[in-house]
Amino acid sequence: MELTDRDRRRPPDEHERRLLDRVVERDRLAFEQLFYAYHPRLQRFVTRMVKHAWLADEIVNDVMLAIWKGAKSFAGNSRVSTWIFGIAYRVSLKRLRRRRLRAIFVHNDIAIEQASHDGGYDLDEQREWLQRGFDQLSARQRAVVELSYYSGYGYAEIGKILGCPENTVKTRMFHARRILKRVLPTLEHETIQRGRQTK
Amino acid sequence: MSHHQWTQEHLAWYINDTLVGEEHARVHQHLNECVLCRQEYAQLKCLSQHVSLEAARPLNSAAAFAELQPHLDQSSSAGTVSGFFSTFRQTPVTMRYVMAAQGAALILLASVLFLPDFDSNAVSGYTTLSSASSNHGDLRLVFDTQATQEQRELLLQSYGLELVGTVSSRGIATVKWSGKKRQEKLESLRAQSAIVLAEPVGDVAE
Ligand SMILES: [Zn+2]
Repeated sequence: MELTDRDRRRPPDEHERRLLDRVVERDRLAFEQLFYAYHPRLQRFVTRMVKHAWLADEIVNDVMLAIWKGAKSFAGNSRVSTWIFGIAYRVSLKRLRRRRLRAIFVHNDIAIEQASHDGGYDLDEQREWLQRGFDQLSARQRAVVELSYYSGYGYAEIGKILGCPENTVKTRMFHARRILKRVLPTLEHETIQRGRQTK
Repeated sequence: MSHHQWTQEHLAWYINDTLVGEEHARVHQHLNECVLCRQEYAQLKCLSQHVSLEAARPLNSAAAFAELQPHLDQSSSAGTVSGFFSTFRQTPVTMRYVMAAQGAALILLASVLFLPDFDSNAVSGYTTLSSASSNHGDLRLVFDTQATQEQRELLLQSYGLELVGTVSSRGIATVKWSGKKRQEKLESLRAQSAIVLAEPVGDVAE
């Protein structure tokens, strides 16, 4: 696969590739290095996707274990980070689906699950607004927004992580923006206020 | 597509500085000409700042690693780590039901139940990062350590997958990966709770 311009702008990931090679050889130290490099980033990304901190903890653990067990299956035709975020994305979706499915089977009201927004977020007022906006997005839309605005990925790489065409990424961003815009007047106000305070 | 519409679609990535070359120039030029897009730009910039400034909750990576460590050895034994496996144990009615039930009918049922969570683009246009154009390579599967041999066989059978060699003690298997509707199959396989990882390998066309 040819590297795109966007890929070239990111630093090469030779170091991570070597770590992954060593993980294939069951090298614990290499795995530990990868773990510490990715744990905070995955934690944030997955929490954004599934909304529950405790669930994100479990998922990130599963992702890490999947890397340990499945390092061999890294085909080498993408960046290591793309591969790892791709796993995190799929495991998150899988867990979200399972929660929904379980709710259907045991006749639990899904609303109960949604209402049990755990204490993972310590929301101050400003974050609450933003959170309210994010709550209205689908998990897939949240993933696109988070990967763009926080992780700083280009749309092509996000397409690879999510396993979907670039146009789908753009469409999701477009819809997400329309929804998030509803909370923007508040955000804009806050930004101005903060700007004044720091002057 | 008009410059305006195109710019609107690409603003997010202009802001995170991942557009390059012509794409970057196209947005840049249009922003100079269009007041609506400049407004949109200001709003999105503000949103992106809020998203990125949002403090992460305190993390203890060391504790998380310590929790994971014992499980690194246990890939083939019964005791396992939180998520996949505990949920697996807690959900006899759901995924075990799907797994235990033979054949496509229930897999179909499952996929119907999953539908509300899917957008059609993602399903029909599904490509994977490592396999977008894999032709006739193999597929590597990592089974959940909780899956019994019987369940694994059932799963392989219902997807019509042929083992290459045997399943390793860590639950890693290689199967032949050819035929039609591979992307849909892959997506469906990945949704199975008995499968931790499914990645095509080999013969990946450039
Ligand atoms: Zn415009």
